[in-house]
Amino acid sequence: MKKIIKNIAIIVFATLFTTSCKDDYLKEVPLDRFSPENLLTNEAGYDAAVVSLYQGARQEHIIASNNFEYMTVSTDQTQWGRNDSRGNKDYSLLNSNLEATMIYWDWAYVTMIARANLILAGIDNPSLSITKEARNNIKGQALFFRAYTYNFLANIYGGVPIVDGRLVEPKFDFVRVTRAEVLRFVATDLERASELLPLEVRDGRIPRAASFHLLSEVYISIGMETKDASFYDRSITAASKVINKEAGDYQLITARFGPAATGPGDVFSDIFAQGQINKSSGNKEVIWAWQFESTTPGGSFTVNQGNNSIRYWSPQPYNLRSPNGILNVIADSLGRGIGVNSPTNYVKYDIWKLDPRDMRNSRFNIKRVFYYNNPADREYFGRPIITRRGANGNLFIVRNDNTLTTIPLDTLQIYYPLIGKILGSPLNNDVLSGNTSKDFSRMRVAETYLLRAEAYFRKGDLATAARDINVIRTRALARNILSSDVTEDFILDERSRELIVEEPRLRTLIRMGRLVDRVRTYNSAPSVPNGPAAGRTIKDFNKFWPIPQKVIDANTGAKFEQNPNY
Amino acid sequence: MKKKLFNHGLWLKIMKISLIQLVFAICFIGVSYSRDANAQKVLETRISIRLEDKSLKTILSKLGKEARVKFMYSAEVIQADRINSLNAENQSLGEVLDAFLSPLNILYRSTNNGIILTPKAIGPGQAYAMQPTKTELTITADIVIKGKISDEKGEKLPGVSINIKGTTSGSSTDTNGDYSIAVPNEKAILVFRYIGYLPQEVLVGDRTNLNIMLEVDNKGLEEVVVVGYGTAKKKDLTGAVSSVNIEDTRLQPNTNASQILRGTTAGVQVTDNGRPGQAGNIRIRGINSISASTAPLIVLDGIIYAGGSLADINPGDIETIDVLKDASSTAIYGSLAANGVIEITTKKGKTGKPKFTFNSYGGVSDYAFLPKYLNAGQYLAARKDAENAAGGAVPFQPVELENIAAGNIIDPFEVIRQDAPISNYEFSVAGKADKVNYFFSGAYMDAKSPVKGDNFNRISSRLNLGVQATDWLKLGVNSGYSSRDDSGVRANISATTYLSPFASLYMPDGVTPRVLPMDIGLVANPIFGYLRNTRNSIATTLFTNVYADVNIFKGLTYKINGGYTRTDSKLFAYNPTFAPTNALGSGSKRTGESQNFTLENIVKYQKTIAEKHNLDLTLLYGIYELDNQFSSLSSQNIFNDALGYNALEIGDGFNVDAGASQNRQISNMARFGYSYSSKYFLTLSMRRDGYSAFGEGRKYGIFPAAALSWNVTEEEFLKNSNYINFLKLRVSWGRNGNRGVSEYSSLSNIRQSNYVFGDGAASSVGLFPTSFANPNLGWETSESFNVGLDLELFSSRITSSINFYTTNTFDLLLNQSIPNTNGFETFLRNIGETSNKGLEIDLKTVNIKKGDFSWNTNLAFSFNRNKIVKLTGRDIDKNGIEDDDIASGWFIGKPLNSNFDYIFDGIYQTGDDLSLIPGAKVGDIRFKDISGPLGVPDGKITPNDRTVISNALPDFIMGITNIFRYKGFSLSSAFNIREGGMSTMSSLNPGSNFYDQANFQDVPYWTPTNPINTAPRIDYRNPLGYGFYSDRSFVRLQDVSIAYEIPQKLLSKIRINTLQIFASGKNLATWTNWKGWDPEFGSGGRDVGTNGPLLKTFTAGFNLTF
Repeated sequence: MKKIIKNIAIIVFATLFTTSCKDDYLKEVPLDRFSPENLLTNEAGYDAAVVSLYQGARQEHIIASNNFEYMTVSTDQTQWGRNDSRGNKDYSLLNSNLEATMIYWDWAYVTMIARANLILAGIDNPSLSITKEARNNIKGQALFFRAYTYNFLANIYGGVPIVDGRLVEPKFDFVRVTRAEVLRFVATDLERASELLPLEVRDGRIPRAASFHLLSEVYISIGMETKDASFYDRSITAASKVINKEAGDYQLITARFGPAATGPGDVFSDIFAQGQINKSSGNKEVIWAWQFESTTPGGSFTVNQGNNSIRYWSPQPYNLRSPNGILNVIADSLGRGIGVNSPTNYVKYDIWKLDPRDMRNSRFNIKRVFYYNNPADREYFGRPIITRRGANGNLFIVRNDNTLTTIPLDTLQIYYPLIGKILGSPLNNDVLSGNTSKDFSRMRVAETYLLRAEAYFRKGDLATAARDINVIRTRALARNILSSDVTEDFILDERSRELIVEEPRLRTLIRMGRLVDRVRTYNSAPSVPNGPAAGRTIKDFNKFWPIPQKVIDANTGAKFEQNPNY
Repeated sequence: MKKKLFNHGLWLKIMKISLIQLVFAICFIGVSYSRDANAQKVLETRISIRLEDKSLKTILSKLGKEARVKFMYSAEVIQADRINSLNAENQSLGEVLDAFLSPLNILYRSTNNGIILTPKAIGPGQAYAMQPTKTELTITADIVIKGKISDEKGEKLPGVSINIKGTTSGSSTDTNGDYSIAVPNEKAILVFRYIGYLPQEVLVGDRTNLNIMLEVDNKGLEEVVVVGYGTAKKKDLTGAVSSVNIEDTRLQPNTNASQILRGTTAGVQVTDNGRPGQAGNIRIRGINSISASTAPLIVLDGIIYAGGSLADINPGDIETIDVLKDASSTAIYGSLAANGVIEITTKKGKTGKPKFTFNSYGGVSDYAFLPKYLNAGQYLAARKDAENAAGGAVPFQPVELENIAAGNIIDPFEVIRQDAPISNYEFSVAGKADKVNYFFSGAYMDAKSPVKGDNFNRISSRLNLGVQATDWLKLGVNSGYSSRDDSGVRANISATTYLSPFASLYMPDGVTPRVLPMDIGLVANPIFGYLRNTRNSIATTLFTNVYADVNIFKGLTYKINGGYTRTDSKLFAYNPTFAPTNALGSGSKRTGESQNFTLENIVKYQKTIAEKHNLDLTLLYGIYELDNQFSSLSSQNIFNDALGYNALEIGDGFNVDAGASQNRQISNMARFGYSYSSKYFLTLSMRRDGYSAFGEGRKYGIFPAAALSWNVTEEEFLKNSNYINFLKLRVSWGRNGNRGVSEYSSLSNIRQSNYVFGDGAASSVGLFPTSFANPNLGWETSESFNVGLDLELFSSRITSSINFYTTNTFDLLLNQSIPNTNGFETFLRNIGETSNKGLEIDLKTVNIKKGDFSWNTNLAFSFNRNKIVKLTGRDIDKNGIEDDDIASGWFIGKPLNSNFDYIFDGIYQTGDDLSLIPGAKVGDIRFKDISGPLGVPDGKITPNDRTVISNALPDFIMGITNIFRYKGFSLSSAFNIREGGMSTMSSLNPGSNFYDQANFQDVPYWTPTNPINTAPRIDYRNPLGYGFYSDRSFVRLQDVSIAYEIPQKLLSKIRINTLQIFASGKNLATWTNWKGWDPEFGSGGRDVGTNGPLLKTFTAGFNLTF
C-alpha cells in the first residue's frame, strides 16, 4: 500500500511540475495586430500614428452626429429648430450626465490626447532611425494636436487635468489644474510645434501657419485669464507670422479662382466651393481643413459620418407645398437638411444691418429664396416661393395672383435662410443623407486677421484693430469701420459674418467669457410658445460646461472637482 | 463458450433450419464471438469478497458491484432466494463463478451487457427444451398464448418469468426463449420479468402469439454519468452533477441543445435568444465572473468542444447531458471550467441488431412575446398629448399626413412578418457488429422566424465508431459535421419599433422600397435590406475526436485523445445599385477559418486492495490550441450588378482586412479516487494550466479539489429501510481558474482608422492604441464549497438531489471603468473578490402510478446570492469602509449587476415645491434627497443622492415539468419561472423615445388630466439619466407536448418497433409585468441586438424505430 502511494505521488508530481521546458509554447506572439512596441519602430509607423490623429481630429465634427451640433446650437447664433425632444435648447438640462458633456470630453482625452502622447513619448528616442526632418514633422503635428485639444478643453470645461506623457498603467488620482495652467501648457506645445512644423505641406496636413494661428488665439486667452497684457503682443506677433507669410504661403484671397470661378458666385463663395478648399486647388486662405471623400476608406463616407453641415444647418424646403398643395422634392443642389441649427434673428438679420450689400450676405453665400421644384405642379414649378405675413403675424405662402394661401411657414425648421458654405456634393451621391464629401475649413487666414484685431483691441489699439477688421470687410466689399466701432461685441459680430458654420461659437464665447449674456440677449425666443429657450434657462454658472460625472466617479484615488453649482 | 457453439447439438439444429435462418445464425455467431473477447475481459476481473448466509440474489448483487458487472437472470428459475455463502480472495471473476455457480446448477454466459445466468438443466446446447412450468391455475384457462422472448439484439432469453397480472399464475421461457401460458380472457395483462431488463406489461387482446423484446435496464442509480476524463456510476459520485432527462424533451421542437437545458436542471439558467437555430446563453450557478467569460465549458464525447457552437449539434444525436456544477467535478478541467461544465454524449451503437430511427416534425412559429407599440388611434392621441405638453404644434411628416388622410394604416410588426415554418428530419442507424459499434445519423432542420429574412437551416451528420481492435486496444472516432446557413437580411427590428402606423414602406409604385419610410433620418426602412440586398452566410463545422484506449496490464490503461474542430465561415454580401439614392452597388466577401486542436494523454490505474479498498488514479497531460484567421474584401461603386459580390474588382474604394489569432494552453492533471466498500468515496484532484493570453510569469495556475461522499444506505442501519431507498451525503471543495479572456488581452492593442489627404487621394493608414497593456494579467480563481444530498424515498417514488454551495472568486478579471483622462475607458485587470451562495434542488416525484396511469413531476429550483466582498481596498474618504467603484458599478456588499441610481419618489404634481431639482417641471420625476456633500440631505438633488436601489439578478429560478401517461398517451407540460431582478427599461420613458416624431411603446405617462404618480410626462427629458427599472419576473408555459405511442400489436405486422406521434407547443404563454422584449433576455429598449423576439412554435411529428 505504501509503495503504491509513493509511486502515485511520484507520477503526479512528475506530470504536474515538469513543464518548464515548454514555456515557449505559451509565449504569445500577436499574429495580426500591432502593439505600440512593434508599430513605432520607424518613420512609417510613427506616421500611421499621426494619421490616426488627423482621423481623430475630424471626429470632432462627426461625434456630435446623434446629438447634433452643440458647438453652435444655443449660443447666440442658432437655436434648436425642431420641435422635438432632442437637442440643446434648455440650459437647465446641461448637467454632468448630459451625453454631450461626455462625448466632447471623451473625444479630447481618448481620441486625441492619448494618441498624441504615445507619439511624443517615443519620437525622441535616439535609437530610432529617422531623418531629422521627418522626426520634426511628426513631433510638430503631435504637439499641435495635443495643444489644439487642451485649448478645446479649456474653452469648454475650464481647468482640466493635464496628461503630458504616455500612461502605461491607469491612474485614478487625476486633479484639475487652473485654466491658465492649461492654456500655458497649450502655448508651450504650440511654440515647440511652430519650430518643428514645415512651411509647405500636403493637402490636409498641419502646416507651421496653423500653429501660429492657434497661438494667436491662445495668447489672447492667457492674457485675459492672467490679466497679463504682454500676451496680446505675443498674439499679434504670432498672427503676423501668418499674415506676413513668414509661416508659409497663406493669404486672404481677393480674386475669384478655381473651376467655381466660371459659374455664378463671388470670391467668398469660391473659397467654399466643392473641390477647392485645399491649397493645391489654389485656395491659399484655408490653412487647415478636415478632409472628406466619397467611397474611399479613410474618407469617412458612411451615412452621417461625412461632412454633416447640410444635415445640421439646412432648412427643409422639401417639406414646403406649393399653393396647389404639391409637395416639393429633395433637390440635388440643396440636399436634405433637418433644420437643427436654426439661425437666430441675430444671424439672419441683425448682423447684416450694418451693410446689407456685404458679399457674405450675397445670394451666393446666404440663400434666402427657395423655388417650387416639383414638376408635378405645372403652375408653380420653377417659380420662387413668395411669402407674406398674414393677419396673425405668421408667414404664409403667396399665390401667383398675390393672394395669401392658408399654408403657414415654419420659419424655425422648414423655411429659413440657408448658409451657402454648407453646400457641397452629396456624400456617395446620396442626396438623402444630408452629408457632403466637401472638405471642411477649420482654419482660415480671415480668422487670423480677426484674432489679431482682437489682440489689438484688448491691448487698446483700436485703430489697428479696425484696420485688420477692415481688411476682411474690404474683401467682402463691405463698408469699412472706424476705430470707435471696435468693441468686443463688434468683433463677435464680425466673426459671425465671416466665420458662421466654421466657427465653434460655443468655444469662442466661453473663451471671451461672453456665453451667458450673449445667449440671454440673442437666444431667448422659445421654439414653441411655452417651451424652454436657451436664453431663459441659462444661469451664470453655465459659463463652463460640467465635468462628466462618470469621470468624477471613476477617479477613485483623488477628488475630482466639479465646476461650481453643477 | 466458443467450443460450445460448435458442439454436436447445435450443428444438428442448424442443418434443420432454412437458408435465411442460416445467414442470421452466422451473424449471431459473429456477435457471440465478438462478445467473447469482452466477456473474457470481464471474467478476468480480480475479486475479493466474503459473504456469509445471504440470499443468492444479494450475493449476485454484491458480486456484481465488486466486479462492475451486471447479472441477468430470472429470479424464479435460478431460485434466487436460496441462502448461500461466497468467499473469494483475489480470484478472477471467472474462477469465482465457476466455483460458486456450478454446485448450484447454474450456468453463466458473459455478454457485453452482463452475465446471463441460466439453470443447468436448460443450458444452451441441450437438445431437449425445458417444459414451461405449470402452475395451478385458479381461473379457467381459455386462451393459450405462445411466443418468443428476445433481447434487443434478437438473442433468445431463456428463463424469463411471465405472470398474469393480478394473479399468481405464471410461466417461464425455455432454452429457445419460447414460452406458452394460458390466460383467462383477452383482458389479461402479461408481465414479463428478467433481472437486468426492464419489465414489460402487455395486454393480451385478441392475439395468441406474442413475441416480446425486452430492453436492457440501464436507468436509475446504476445510471452512468460522465464526469470528465471518465464515467462514474451515479450513485458513486462525489461531486454535484445533474443529468438532464433527455427523453422527456424528445417531443419538443428544440433546435439546439441549449433549449434542452432550459428549465430542466437546477442551477442552470438558459436564455433563449429568439433566433431560429441559434444556441442560447447558458449560465451555471449565477455569475462568477463579470468581464471574463461566463459561458460553461462544453465537453462533447469526452473531449473539449472548443471552437464549435452548441448550435452545431443535432439534439437528436444526443444521448445524455450531464452538468458538472461544483468545483470538485469541474476542477479537473481547471481553468476552462470556472463556469461549470456541460458534458454531452452522443449516441453509440449498443445492440447487435441495427436500430433504425426516423424522426420528423413540422410546424409553424409566431411571435411569443412582443412589446406593445402604439396603434393608429393611440399614436394620434399621443401626438395630441405631445402638442398639449409642448404648447404648440408637433407636426406630422407630410407622408404621415397623406396616409392619415387616405386611411392607410400599417402594423409595424406585421409588415416585417414572413411565414415561419419549421421542419426537421432525422435519420439514424445504430448497431454493433463484430468488433465494431457504430452510430450514424443525418439530419436536416429548416426554421424561419416570423421576422422577414431571419432564416436558418442546418444539415448535420454524425458518425461514431468504436473498434475493439485487439483485446488490449480499442480505437474509435466520434465525428460530426454540420453546415449552418443563416443567409438572408433580417428586417431591422429596432427600426420597426420606430415605425409610425402611418409610415409608407414603399414608393408610390408599391414595389420600390422607400429609404426613409417617414421621411426622417431617425426611422430607417426595416425591410430595405431584406428587399434589396443579398447576404449569404454559411458556417460549416467539422468535429472529430479520435481516440485509442490501450489496456497495458491489469487495471492500467492509457488513452490518447485527439480532437480537431474546424469551422469555415463565409459571409458574402451585396447591395445592388439603387437609383433613388444614386447608390451604385457595393459588396463584400469574408471568409473565416477557425481550427481547434486538442491532444490529451490520459493514464488510468485502477486497483482493488484487500477487497474493499478501490483506488482509481487518472493522470492527464494535454495541450490545446485555437487558431483563427479571416480575410475580407469589400468595394464600393460597383457599376454593374450582374456579378454581385463576385465582381468586387470593378468597384472602387477597395478595402482589405486580414486577421489571425492564436491561443494555447498546456494542462497537467492528476485525480485520485478512493472508495471503501461502496460506502465512502473520496476524490482528490489537482490541475495545472498554462494559458498563453496571460502576462509573462502569470501564465500558470494550479487548481486543487477534494470531495467526499458517504453512501448512507449501504450502512447496516439503513440497509433494510422501507422508506429510504437511497441516501448519500456529499461534500466538496475546490479551486477553479477562469481563463475567459481572449488572446492578446494582456497587450496594448492597436486599431486601424484611415484618413485621406487631398481630394481624390488614396487612403493613408492610421493606427492607434485602444487599450492599456496589462503585463500582470493572470488567472481569476474561484474557490467553492459544496454540500449535497442525494435521496430516494418510498420505492423511489421521490428522487431528489439538493446542493448548497458557496463560491468565492478572487482576482476577478474585470474591465474596470477608469477615468478616461487615462486615454482609455476601461482597464482589464485582476481585482477584488466576489461571493456566490446558492441552493439547488432537483426533485423528481411519481405522484400517481395506478394501472395504466401515471403522473410524474420534475422540479428544478435554484437561487443564487451574489455580492462583492472586496475591490481595490482603497478608502479615500477614510470612513473605515472600503470605497465603492461607482463608475464600474461595483459596491462592497452588493451584488454585481446592482442598479445604482436616484430613488424614485413619485411625480411632481401641480402645486408641488419644485426646488429640489433645478429646472424641474410638473410631471417630472421627483427623486429622494438622501445626501449631499456633507453626507446629509442638502435640499438639492446631486450625484450624491444616487445609491444602490436594486439589482438585476433573479431571486430564484424554477422549472416544473409534469408528465402524465395513460397507456400509449403521454402529456407533458413545462413551466419556466423567474422571480425578481430589476432591469432598466428605457422604453418606459416616451420623452427619451422620440414620442414627438415616431412610434413609441404603449406605456402610461403623466398628463394634466391624468396626473398619475408612477410615470412622468410624455416629454420628460430624463435629465439625470434615471434608469426606469422594471421587474423581470415571469411565469412561462414553455413546453406542452402530447404524444401517442401506437400499440405494438399494430406495428409488429409492418415490422416497426415503435412509432410515436406527437404534437407540441413551445413558449405558449408568458405572464409578466415586464413590458420590454422577452423578460428572459430582458432588453428594455428598442433594440434587441442580435437577439430576436422570442418564438412561439407549434409542431407535430413522429418518431419511428425499426
